[in-house]
Amino acid sequence: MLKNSIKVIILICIAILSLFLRKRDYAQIPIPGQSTDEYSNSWVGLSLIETGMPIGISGLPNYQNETKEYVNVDRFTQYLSSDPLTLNYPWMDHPPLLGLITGGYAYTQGARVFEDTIALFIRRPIILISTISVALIMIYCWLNFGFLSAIVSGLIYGTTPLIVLSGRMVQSENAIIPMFLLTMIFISQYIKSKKDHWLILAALASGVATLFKLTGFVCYLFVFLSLLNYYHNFTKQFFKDFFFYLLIALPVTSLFLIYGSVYGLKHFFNIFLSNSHRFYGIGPSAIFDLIRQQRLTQHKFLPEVWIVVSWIVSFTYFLKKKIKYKIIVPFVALISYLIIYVFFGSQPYGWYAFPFWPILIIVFSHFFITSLKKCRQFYLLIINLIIVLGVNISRIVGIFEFQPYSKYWRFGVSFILFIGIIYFLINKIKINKNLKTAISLILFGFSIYLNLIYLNKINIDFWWQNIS
Amino acid sequence: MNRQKFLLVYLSIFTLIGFLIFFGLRTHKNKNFSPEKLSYLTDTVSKFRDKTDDLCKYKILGDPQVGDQYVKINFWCTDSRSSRSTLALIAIPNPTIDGIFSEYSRIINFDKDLISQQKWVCFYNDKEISNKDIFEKILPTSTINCYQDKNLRGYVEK
Repeated sequence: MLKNSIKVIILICIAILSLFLRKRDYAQIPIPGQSTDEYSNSWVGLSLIETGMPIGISGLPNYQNETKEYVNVDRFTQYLSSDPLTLNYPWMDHPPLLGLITGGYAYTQGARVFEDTIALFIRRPIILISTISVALIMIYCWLNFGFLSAIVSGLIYGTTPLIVLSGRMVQSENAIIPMFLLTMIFISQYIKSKKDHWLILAALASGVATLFKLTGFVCYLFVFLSLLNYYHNFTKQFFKDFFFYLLIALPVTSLFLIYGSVYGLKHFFNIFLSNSHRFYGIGPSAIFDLIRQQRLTQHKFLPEVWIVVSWIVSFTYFLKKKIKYKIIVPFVALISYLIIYVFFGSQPYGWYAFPFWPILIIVFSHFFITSLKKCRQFYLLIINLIIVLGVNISRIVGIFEFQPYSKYWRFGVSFILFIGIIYFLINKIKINKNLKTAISLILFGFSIYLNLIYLNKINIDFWWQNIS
Repeated sequence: MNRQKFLLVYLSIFTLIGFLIFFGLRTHKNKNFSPEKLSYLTDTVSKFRDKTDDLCKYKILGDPQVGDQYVKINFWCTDSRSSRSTLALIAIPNPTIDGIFSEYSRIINFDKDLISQQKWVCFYNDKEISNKDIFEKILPTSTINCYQDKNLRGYVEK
């Protein structure tokens, strides 16, 4: 067995690989300006630091102060259709913590005016935050499902092209993710040990999540449901724990209210009400769209097979007679965010779906390792890995270039499916665990390798020709 | 852990933090925010952006969604290159020909005087712009065409 220090080194290597992938061409891809929210978030922080007045882009009514301006940061008017930007102040659409991080970082790099908040500066803290998310996923999986699961989840989340690209964008969801993961880690530790400091840490992480965006309330919902699951009912102990949690988390969240009161509570609540009347652009097909098509922005689609198969796998957990506590936690997290997503839903911007992805990958990695022990589940794992492999190959090799290899695919996949269904039906044949692990890891490793090849192909030209 | 004791200390600290944020931010805002500071933040050209002397290099792409409240401004170079832009009038602080040149040069980041120094010939709705026209109020849906060489005009129109 590997020593813990070696295991830690392996996980650090995965985190470094993730950082490297996120850092490569980060200021060019995704194209700066395709989401002006990236700038707006940073302008809120920069203007707060410089003038004490949050100024940003808003589409909401009820703002009394509005100005239309051309701010040609990163020269985005050169390649993107450019209306003047509608700037409002005091900007209260969301809490300002993300802006303070990215705008604050830009300030330390010499940014003093809005045009200075170039992608080169403002995306750097986000890259670090999204790499921390990779590390937290691995920690969560290691603590709850074992080391192999940590490697699987880290490699998928660290190298999946859509997740890598999304992890460069200055969107609040990228900051909510590590807070949500921390809450999951702390709550799972609290339930294991019943030590109060884990509940306190979960509450602090939850509070901080809401300072990035109000959808950070997902952490509150998650803790509520997790404790309910643990106590199996609304018991006295449940209320004791949950109120203790609330008394720690709510003061952190209330900092947004205190901040808003500096600019007038009437204005704060007017904008709050405007937020609640947003256009419900995700529509009734929201959940179906979440599964079948993944986006970076509103109009930039980059469907990601790892996420689709993770959704498929997560549905199988509904069918289980008994779900172990360990897997209930990510499952509850997934449903918690689904509730928040449907409830808060406005336009179908890609970033609203970002927080689903780490949880889905956690569920998939748990499925991966448990499949090695269960015959029927192993067959489903192999089918999923073949789906991933097939899609990843098709991204790299065109259909005509694939033809010389088609016979291997035709016979290879048919053979695996045929053998698999016999194995599935008889269900008595024992396959050596090491053989199962080897088959799964070969398919998995090749899929991860193809993730890297595809990421390596994504440059500016590829983006304009294939993605934008 | 004694939860009550912890909450007492924690909530006391948070009350203090809340007061500090409220009064600190209010003082900061009252001291530092002004309409001039707002204009400085939004209108100042970045020191990180290149200044160009090639007026056909950069443009403002697309048609703004402002109905008929726009002005087109085009620069035509002798080497067949051009820069064609549309500006929304709503974002122009001084809606005159001079105001358009000022705002356009700020957005693109070139020295406005280059237009005269490089001897560009400009037309406002097909009428050559003279010094006395420069402060004329611009009409919506107008077009300003600037040619590096006056002879280009006939060529471009063809």
